[in-house]
Amino acid sequence: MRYAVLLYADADLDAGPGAKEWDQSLPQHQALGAALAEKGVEFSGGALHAIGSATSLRRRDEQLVHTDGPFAETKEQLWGYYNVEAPDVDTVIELVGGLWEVDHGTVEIRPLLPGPEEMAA
Amino acid sequence: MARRERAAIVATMARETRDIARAEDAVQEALLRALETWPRRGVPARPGAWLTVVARRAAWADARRRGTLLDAEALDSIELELAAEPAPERLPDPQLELLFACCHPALAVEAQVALTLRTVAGLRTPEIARAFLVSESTLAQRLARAQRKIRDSGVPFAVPAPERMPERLAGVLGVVYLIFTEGHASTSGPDRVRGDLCEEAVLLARLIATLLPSEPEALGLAALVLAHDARRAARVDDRGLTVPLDEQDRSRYDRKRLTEASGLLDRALALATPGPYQVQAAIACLHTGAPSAADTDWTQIAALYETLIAMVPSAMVALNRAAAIGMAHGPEAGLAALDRLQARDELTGHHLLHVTRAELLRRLGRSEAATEAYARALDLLPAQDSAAGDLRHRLAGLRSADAPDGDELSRTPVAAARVVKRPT
Repeated sequence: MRYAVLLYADADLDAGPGAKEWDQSLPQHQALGAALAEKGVEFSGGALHAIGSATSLRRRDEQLVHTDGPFAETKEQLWGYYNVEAPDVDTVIELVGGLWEVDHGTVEIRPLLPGPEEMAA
Repeated sequence: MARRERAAIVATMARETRDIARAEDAVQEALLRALETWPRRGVPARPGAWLTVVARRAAWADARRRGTLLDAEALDSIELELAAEPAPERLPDPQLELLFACCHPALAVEAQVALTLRTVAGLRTPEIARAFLVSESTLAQRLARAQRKIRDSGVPFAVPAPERMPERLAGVLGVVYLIFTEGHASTSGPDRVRGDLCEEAVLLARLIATLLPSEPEALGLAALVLAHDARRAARVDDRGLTVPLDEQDRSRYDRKRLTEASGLLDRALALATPGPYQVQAAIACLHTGAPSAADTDWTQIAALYETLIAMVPSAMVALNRAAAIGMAHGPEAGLAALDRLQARDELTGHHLLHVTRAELLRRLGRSEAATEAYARALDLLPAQDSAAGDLRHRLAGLRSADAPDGDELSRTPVAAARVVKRPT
């Protein structure tokens, strides 16, 4: 199965290189990346720029509306994600359980629906 | 077909399909085919194996192949095929794996309870809905949602790895204990004791103890529920009121269950890893095994609560310890322990604290203060609560020197709260 692992942290935190939290969380992400690569697990992921960098789009009355900022005001911001292949949810919990975000924010594990190619197969 | 056997086949199919709803449907289909085939061909030598083969076909065959795999001719040849192959070894047991899936922490606790009763215990949805006083449609939705979550998020049907075992097993045992406490001291409905739920919890606890014979807490939980449940017949009188521990007719205790509990506890203790369920089981065995409330080893019970509080530092355990101290070392010592608890402002809003105080005061002959404490306890309970009925009965009886009740089990999965008293 394929899982999205969504990393949430305090909306007031400044994400990105140079921030204290970035330095604190980096070692665990590097360790996770190395562990996944070593096991030959298919994965991708990325860190997001701080929440202020977001542009939200919606079309209303045929007008494309741009909003400077996230789609909803929340106390926690999405600041990174993984897309990882795993046999079951326990494997994912085991893999990501040591991340900095588990201690200081929230990590949401969501199974991905099969993509169009897999549906056809 | 006994529901236990049916549940075992559902467990096998759930492991194979990782989809409980699909497993249930497949087993249902197999049972229908059995109704057609068995009267004609006779009951197969291994009915469970026969049903498993048919359920497997029903679960996996697509619509096109279904006809040929499940037609009369195909079903007739199953017995021959089964006779040719040896009975498969099933390790680890599919029911154990199903149990860990049903009690997975990714599910809400009430979903874990409902799913365990439905899938592992094999109760029907209306039975569970009745037991928890929710509508059938609410419960059906809860079950369907939990089954979907297991399927869609890839909850594994597997016994956890050793390093995860203590935590995951605690979750499983907690669900069974919750089912037991709801039966033993019901929070809902008119009945004080719900034998059906007690019985299910006993069966589940036994099953887990059988499947995990080297897990001391699994044995401890089975011992605990059996030792408590052994007193069931004596705990409620004809009017539906709780009978105080010291007034219970001990000849009505179930000696077989108590013996079974002691045996399980001995085996658990031999594994030399104590835990909260084992300590509570030891306390429950001392209570149930004593010839009378007066001839109970209160000193050891107080010491066991001391051990328990080191493992589970909860206010409810401290309350039980205070009550046991009151029995072992006199009501004044008990009141002192209660004062220490109250000074920390713990449980002051809980009726059991005031019931315990009332009882200790009554034994000191301070009837007026005791009446006040009972009244305080009553204030803290909703009028229609079954415990409130017991309390009013006791309050009325205080003047005629009647004895207060002494048998409560806490709501928390790890703390069996027993408020006990010395007979008058």
